[in-house]
Amino acid sequence: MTHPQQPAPDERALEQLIGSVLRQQPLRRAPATLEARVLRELAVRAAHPWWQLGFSHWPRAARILCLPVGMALVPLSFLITSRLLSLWQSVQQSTPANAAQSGWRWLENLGQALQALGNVVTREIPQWWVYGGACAALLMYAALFGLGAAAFRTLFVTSEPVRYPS
Amino acid sequence: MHLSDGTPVQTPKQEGDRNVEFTKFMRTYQNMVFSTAARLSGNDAQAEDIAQEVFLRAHRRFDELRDNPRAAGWLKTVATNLTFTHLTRYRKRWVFFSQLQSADEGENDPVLDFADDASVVEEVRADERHEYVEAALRELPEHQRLPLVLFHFEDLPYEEIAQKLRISLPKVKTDIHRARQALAAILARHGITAEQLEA
Repeated sequence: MTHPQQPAPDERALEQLIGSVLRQQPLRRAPATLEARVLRELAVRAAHPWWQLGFSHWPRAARILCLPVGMALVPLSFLITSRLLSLWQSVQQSTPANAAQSGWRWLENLGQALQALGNVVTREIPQWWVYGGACAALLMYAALFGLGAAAFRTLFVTSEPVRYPS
Repeated sequence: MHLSDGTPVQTPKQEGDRNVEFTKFMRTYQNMVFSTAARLSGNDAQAEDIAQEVFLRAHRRFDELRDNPRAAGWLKTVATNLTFTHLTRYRKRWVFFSQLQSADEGENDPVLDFADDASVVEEVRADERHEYVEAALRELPEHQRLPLVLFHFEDLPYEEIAQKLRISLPKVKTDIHRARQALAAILARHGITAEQLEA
């Protein structure tokens, strides 16, 4: 194994060769469409008011102003939440208890139905069916993940074929 | 590099002149910006998007950049950083799906003997050779291409490359060495010899 601090002669020759090759490479020519794209995008942005553009495009003053405004919004949101809560409590106290509770009745019914379903499943369905089903679900998830990875590699990793001049 | 972020108010005529100047500015630097992004990303379409974003940022700071001798450096830095941002956005996915194979990649590559390739008789012209080299760079896997480009094109030291790529120093050196081997192998496969490269 070659020590990284002291490259072997072959390694040094390779470094010098590739280094000189790459240094001789001229700049690549930018696509002819680049200039038009930039100018078109500038025109589009110029047509929009600054507040419709991304945050990084806002004038500096507006960006700076966002900090105190953001900080002020935190206590304001707490204040609004506490006011809403107290309002809710006062509404609850002023209405009959039955009316308030009826709103939650459906939730209670749903819980009871789910519990009954769970009881049926544990009583009627054999345990190994449940475990087998869980294992099958895991296997299907893994297979789907593998298919996704294969599709990613096929469709995206080799999306730009390397072209050599003829 | 410090460049303040002023946005002065201008009349339409001044704005028109500014756009003409900016177009000239863009023509001066667009090949450099595009080359930086293309070599780092290995993808021309992505490089064009990145170059566009670089110039949109440059436009916002054009009043400071237009006569600034450090404009080229600023553009190159922004192009490099934007390319990194672009690549890092997909890096986790990329690492998971693409670099599983890279751990032992290159271990079994044959060692190239540069002095022993006299069988190739076809002379490759310089401009074609440049295209071959660019295509070979694109063919390198990302984890090899990035440190190689940063070392040889951007002249960054190993330590800075390790810092930028958030990988260890020995890995940077190994990746660059393997990238050189792979590059030479790709070029040799297409009939370009060491002698032609040195010519």
